[in-house]
Amino acid sequence: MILLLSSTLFFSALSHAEVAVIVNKDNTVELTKGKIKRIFLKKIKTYENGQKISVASLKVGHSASTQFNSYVLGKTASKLKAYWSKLTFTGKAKPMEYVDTSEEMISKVKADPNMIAYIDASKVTDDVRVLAKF
Amino acid sequence: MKLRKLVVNVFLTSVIATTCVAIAEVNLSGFASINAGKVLSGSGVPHLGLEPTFLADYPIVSAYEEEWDFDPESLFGVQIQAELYDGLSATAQVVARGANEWDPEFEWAYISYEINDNWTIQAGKKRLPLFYYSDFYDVGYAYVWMRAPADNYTWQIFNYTGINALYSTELGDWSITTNLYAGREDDKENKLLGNFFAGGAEIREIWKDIFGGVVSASNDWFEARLTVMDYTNERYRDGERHFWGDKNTRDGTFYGAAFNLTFENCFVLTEISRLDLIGDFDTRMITFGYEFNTVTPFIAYSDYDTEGEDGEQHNTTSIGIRWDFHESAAFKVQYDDVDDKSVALAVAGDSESITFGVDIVF
Repeated sequence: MILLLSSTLFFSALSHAEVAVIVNKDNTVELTKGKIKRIFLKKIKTYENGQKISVASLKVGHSASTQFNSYVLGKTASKLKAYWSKLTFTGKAKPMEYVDTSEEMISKVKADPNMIAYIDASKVTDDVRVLAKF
Repeated sequence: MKLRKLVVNVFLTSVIATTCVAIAEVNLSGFASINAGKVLSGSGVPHLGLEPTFLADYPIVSAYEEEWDFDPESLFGVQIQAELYDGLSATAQVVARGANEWDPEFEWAYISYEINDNWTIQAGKKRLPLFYYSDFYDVGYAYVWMRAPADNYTWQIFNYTGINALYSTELGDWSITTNLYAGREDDKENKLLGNFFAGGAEIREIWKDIFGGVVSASNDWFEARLTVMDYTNERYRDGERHFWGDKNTRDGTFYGAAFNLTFENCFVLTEISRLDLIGDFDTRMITFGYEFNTVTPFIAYSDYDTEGEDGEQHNTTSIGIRWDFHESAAFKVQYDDVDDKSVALAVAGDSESITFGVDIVF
């Protein structure tokens, strides 16, 4: 019993909510972490081929969103909210689009060849291409 | 001003109504601040008959006295943004303030067109972007203090109606943004000049032939913003044209620079400005803060100085804490020690005050 308990603890210490950045299956883009960060802060708005990037994030409070904000954007939820409010209430950027679940996100990315988004890595399916994991 | 407001309202409404079928999306968002404060002790300005007062916000005239008051800095803002078709949008922001009996006003009302990835053209009524915090001045959630330093944000005109061009690009690790703008503002009953300084006289303040530019550059840890603005000032007092000596207009040039640094959990915010009008009016501000997870204590100093003997001169030392207790709300408490060194041009005298409140965005 004790052995089982300790091995369970050992494995749960190893795993954490991994985030997968996904794009449409037809999108062959390659991006560094730095570029991904700037895309999700709407500082980079087009692909190298000139196509407009559409971007969506998981809703605030979703474990993958917390992970992404911390690992990729380097911002807490509050700092990110302050960042967006500086842009959206001054006409400098459209608000970030938020989606509730990984499943909904996959449908959106499947339908939009120019979309970049992120989901819980454990929810990845064959419908999308994984660009990076964090 | 009323006619222009009506025209802007009708224009926006008709644009939105007639293109109802073409609207891709209408976004509703907003912000609110519920703040309260009181002067703990103060000198007032006896020779002007002013009781102990803390003027927390000059253009809005947010004045606290020795009784707890929720009105001076509380506000509620709603923004409606309608995306019309590819790249064209119409935005309106209506704000109701406790300091103005909660009468809602269209603070921003403009159309925006994204020409391409770098350029956007906008036209309509917007905030005058003199200072780093001017654009989002009303969105308390976006900055650390209770309000942007009062000694710096003293100018009685803070909106304009006109046209502007935004340019943004990335250069390596740097994000560069620029704004070029032109327009005018005609404030029929200027609150700061009329109600606060002139004991209730009706002051019509006009800033025309406004032409300005802003350049900002930022990377992960550093941000710089530089700005210059030119304008011509006209004024009427109780319907009579005002003269400065023998001239009924005067030209001003505004210069501003802000530099912000972050190093791990520490940050430093600085801003200096000069208004070259009839002599120089200078402002400075520095703030230090440290982010402990969701609690951010800060200390700030700001001042306003005019050259020469007995010009307007005042400074504020502030300490406070911001607590991000919820993902869309922040609680703040701040202590402000104001030293008003001016005599003939005294503003509100010395004061020590405490203010606290909650800022939200939605």
